[in-house]
Amino acid sequence: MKKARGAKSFGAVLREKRMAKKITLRKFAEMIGVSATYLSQVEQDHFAPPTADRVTKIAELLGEDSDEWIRLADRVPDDVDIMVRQHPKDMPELMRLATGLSPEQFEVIKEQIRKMKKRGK
Amino acid sequence: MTMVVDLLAQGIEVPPLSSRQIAAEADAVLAEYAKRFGPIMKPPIEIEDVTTSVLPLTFGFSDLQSQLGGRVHGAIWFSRRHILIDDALNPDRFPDLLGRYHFTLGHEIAHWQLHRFLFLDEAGHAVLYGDDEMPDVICRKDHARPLIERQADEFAGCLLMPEWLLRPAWRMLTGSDEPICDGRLRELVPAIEPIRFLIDADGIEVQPDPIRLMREVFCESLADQFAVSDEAMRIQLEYLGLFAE
Repeated sequence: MKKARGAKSFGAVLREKRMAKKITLRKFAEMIGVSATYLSQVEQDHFAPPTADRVTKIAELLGEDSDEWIRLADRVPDDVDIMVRQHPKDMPELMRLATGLSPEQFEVIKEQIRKMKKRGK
Repeated sequence: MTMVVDLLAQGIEVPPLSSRQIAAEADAVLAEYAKRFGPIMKPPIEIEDVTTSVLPLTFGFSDLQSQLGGRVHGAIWFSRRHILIDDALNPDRFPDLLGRYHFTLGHEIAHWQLHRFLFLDEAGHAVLYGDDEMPDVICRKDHARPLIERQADEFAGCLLMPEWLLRPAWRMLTGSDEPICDGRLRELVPAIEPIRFLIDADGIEVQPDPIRLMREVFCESLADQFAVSDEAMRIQLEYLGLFAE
């Protein structure tokens, strides 16, 4: 997903939020299971953001919304990746059909799906 | 470790700084760090955070030895506020060189803190005409030691091993605040296998000085605590007068 012009990078947001929590780089690197050197390179945007599961962990540790952070990292959540693999034809088609819908229209569709799933149980 | 800088060719003279001034400059950086993350209670100093979260610098790794000639460890571009460390010191690839990587980063930070005013005007623009692609300071391992490099080494030592952290650690190790003389060290340090010290980290054969060797073996555990090399720790302890003949 393209970032809005002027939007902060993943690395910049990560450093800002980590510092706001007063967590040192080395400590945070230990918490997410990477080296301090690697994390410093990610924060400087010299390396691409980590994998989706690690981004999720980062968001959780910082008390942030993991879906937002996965979007910021330009990653696909692991569960979405699995769903697409399970329905390789239908899921991409569904996503293509939904492209361009308004938030309200998305809500209508989501509500329909919830009802269908409820009836199906 | 000694370093030479490609500065003399540019005709730059570095003003002298006392040891007290250099230590105060390093302490000022650590005080800024403490403001952001809380008081520093124990080593090691988080040098990456100092670089990118306290100071307005970025850093990365590159094959400097190929790009700039042999035995280059680090380089800095003042106007870009960017430091490059040679790939050969990347601790993710060579964990044994973590201490030397930290010292090199501390050394480049020293150039920023102590020497940038020689290169940048108040607005942060370069004051020297030069090739923008080339670093302002290239630090090589060598035997000659111009003042600018000695100052940067001293600053790096004070930054990574501040006296107020090192003296308590020394007390824990030795049970005293007093220096230890070489005669006493001979009793404390087990027999050293000199073969392990014959090749330095650059793969260069060196003739180890037995006194330095003994002191470095003695302070190994302190070096580990502060995440610096045994050599850097030995030099800092000598600087504080804690090793005596």
